[in-house]
Amino acid sequence: MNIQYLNPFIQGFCEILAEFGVIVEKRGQLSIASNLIKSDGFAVLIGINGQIKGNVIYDMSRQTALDLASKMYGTEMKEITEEVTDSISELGNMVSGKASGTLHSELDIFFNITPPNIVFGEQTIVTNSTIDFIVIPLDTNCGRVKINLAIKE
Amino acid sequence: MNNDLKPILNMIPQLAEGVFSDYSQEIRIISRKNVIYPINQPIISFLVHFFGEFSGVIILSIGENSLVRLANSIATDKFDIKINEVQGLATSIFSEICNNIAGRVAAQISSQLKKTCNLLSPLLIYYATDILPDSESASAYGITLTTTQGDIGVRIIC
Repeated sequence: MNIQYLNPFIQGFCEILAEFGVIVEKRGQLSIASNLIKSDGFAVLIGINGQIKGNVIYDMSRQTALDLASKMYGTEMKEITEEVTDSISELGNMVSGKASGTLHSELDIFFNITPPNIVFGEQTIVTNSTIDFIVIPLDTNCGRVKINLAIKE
Repeated sequence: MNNDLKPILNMIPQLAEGVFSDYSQEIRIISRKNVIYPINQPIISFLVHFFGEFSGVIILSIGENSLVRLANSIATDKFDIKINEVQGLATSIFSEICNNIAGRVAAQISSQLKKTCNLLSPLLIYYATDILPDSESASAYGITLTTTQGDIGVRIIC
């Protein structure tokens, strides 16, 4: 996977979260997960199709999902409700959409994104058969979110 | 239910059985229930997005024990190999079965709904406690197929 596809997702994540008062305090070390990732409990799966194809998975703990949704809604969320899943889905949508726009304007690379699906489970493992995941952990004031990107040209 | 999708959902048992029979004569569908597969055991799910004029996702789910039985039937028939745990060959076999079923569903969507419908790269999801669509834009339709090797859930979200 071409590393230049990565930064628009990170940049998009930071910019979108800032709109809700969520700050990315630290960017962790980038790593390669050989086509397998272990979820922290709450994962948003989005498919990517176009000049590049694959999947992006925004993964976080249940508590981080609650804290992010609380920021987005402006009120404390104490349990996983439809509002929480919808808001985190929308977050994934917005970040991926922003990345799509950036890649198109800066690198003339065009792709569409699929509607998101949310996967729950603290023992959950997600694999794909052919593409390694690049994993970027981002520590925010709501907890850690990992962007897992598996893309091929 | 989306009325366009109804005939295709009704065809899923037939499409799945066609795939099973290509791999092993031991695997047959006994019955079908119009319910979403219940999550009450460790399950493995195959998820693949449809893209094109028809967009959505198909998820095929199976319990661990059923996956081992299914994969063992095929591995025994095809390769004279025994499988007794969820490991590389078992999940590879399950992925291939699901890819074929999803491909046949996509072909039916294309031919019956006259909409382009292709498949993205699939994901295998182990031990999720639930998989939910984006509630604003999607509806989920599910059936559970009872086979000779155990239950398989098929869900289409579009």
